[in-house]
Order: sequence, then structure tokens, then C-alpha cells
Amino acid sequence: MIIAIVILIMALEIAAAIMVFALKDIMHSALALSVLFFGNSLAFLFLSQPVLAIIQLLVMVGGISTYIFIGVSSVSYSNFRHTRYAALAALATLIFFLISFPLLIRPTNNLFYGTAMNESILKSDYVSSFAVSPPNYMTANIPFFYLLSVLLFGVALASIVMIKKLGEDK
Amino acid sequence: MIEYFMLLSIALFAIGISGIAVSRHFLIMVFSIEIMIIASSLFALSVFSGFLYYGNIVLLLVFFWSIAAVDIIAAMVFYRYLVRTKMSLDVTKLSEYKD
Repeated sequence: MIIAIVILIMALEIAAAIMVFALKDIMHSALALSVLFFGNSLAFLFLSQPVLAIIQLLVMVGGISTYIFIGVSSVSYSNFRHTRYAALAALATLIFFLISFPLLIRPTNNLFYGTAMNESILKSDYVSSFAVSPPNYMTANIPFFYLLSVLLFGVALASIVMIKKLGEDK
Repeated sequence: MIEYFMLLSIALFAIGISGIAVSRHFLIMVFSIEIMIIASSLFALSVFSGFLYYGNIVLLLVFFWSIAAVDIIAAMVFYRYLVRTKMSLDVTKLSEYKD
């Protein structure tokens, strides 16, 4: 079940990253980028770091995406696009397999095989006693945070679209 | 599950690199830098929560977020300047303009 959700998040993020290049309008690209930020914060949530997920959500979706929208939407300019999609796909696949072949081939299960950090040190009780659990009042209300951020982001988006329409009417 | 997120971050990083290499639009290149920053932060967090059970990742992530924010702010200022002066957003044509 969890694996299915993780694969859905992966599909969402990769589709958003491709849509940044595929969409024509620059504002739609910014929207795809904010979807990518949202999916990344969901991934943080599944990596069992809920507080960092909330901070990521607030900083990226709340701050940076809104700044991009205000900067992009207040000026209208010719949007040319000369992306060569075949070259993009081929280059991305090549770089992906170049970087990830130690993970894909995987001679042993331990990623740090041959280094000083082997598994017996990393998973000992002495090391794991340093782990700090996040405060309870934040992790209990995570769906509320996500709902609130989506709501606020929608309001910001709708206000920008309304302002653009008002400017076109004049 | 950690490996899935590592593969995801590597795929996002590859998409970002090839986006910089392929596209010529100014803002799209900045967006692909953002994709690369996001991918590296995801990789750092997945390695942290999968293999390291000690230490603190927050400082590193604060660096990532601040770099992303400064990147976007500088890019937006430059974008507004390019639009106001009616220059082209094609980065290959930037050398034609001399002030």
C-alpha cells in the first residue's frame, strides 16, 4: 500500500518535472514547478520527517512559488520555446543511468560498502540513541497543514488570475 | 522504500541537467536549477533517514532552501529587467546587447 503511494508520488514528481519543459506558457511552467515542490514535501513526509516536510511546504510552495507567480504574471511578454524534446529525453535517460548504476546494479545491499561507515556502526544502539522524535503537536495535524497550504495557494493563484483579467478589461 | 526516493532524486537531477543543456529560455534554465536543488535535497534527506541515525540535517536543508530562494529572487529581478528593456529571453542572444 505504502509502496503504491510512493510510486504515485514518483510519477507525480517526474510528470511535473517534464511538464516544466513541455508546457507552452511560462506561467503554466511555474505551476508545474509548484506541483513538483508539493510532491517533494510529500516525499519528505514519507521519509518520516514531518516537520521538515511542513517547513519545505511553507518555504517552497508558500514563499518561492508565490514569488515566481507574482514575478511572471505581472508582465506579459512573448513566450518563445525552442525545447528539443527528443534531445531532452535522450540526455535525461543517459545521465540517469550514468549516475544511478551503482544503485541499480547493487553488488551488495549496503550502499556504503567498502567505506568506514558499515552497517554495524550505523545501526548500533549507541548511534540510534541520538535520534530525536519531532514534537507531537506538529505531527498530529499534518493533513491540516497540507489542506491549509493548498487552500492558501489556490487563493493566491486565483487572485493573480483575477488581477490579470481586470487588467485585460481595462 | 529509500531506494525509490534515491532513484527519484537521481531522475529529477538528470531531468534538470538535461533541461539546462537543451533549453534556451532564460527562466526555464532557472527552473531547471530549482529542480536540481530540490532533487539534491531529497537525496540528502533520503540518505540521512535511511542510513544515518544520528546528526542533524536541518542546517543542510536550510542552506538548500536559502540557495533556492536567492536563485529565484535574482532570476526574477533579471527577468523584469530583460522585459522592461525589451530584450530577448533567449540566452543565446544576450551577447548581442551591449549597454
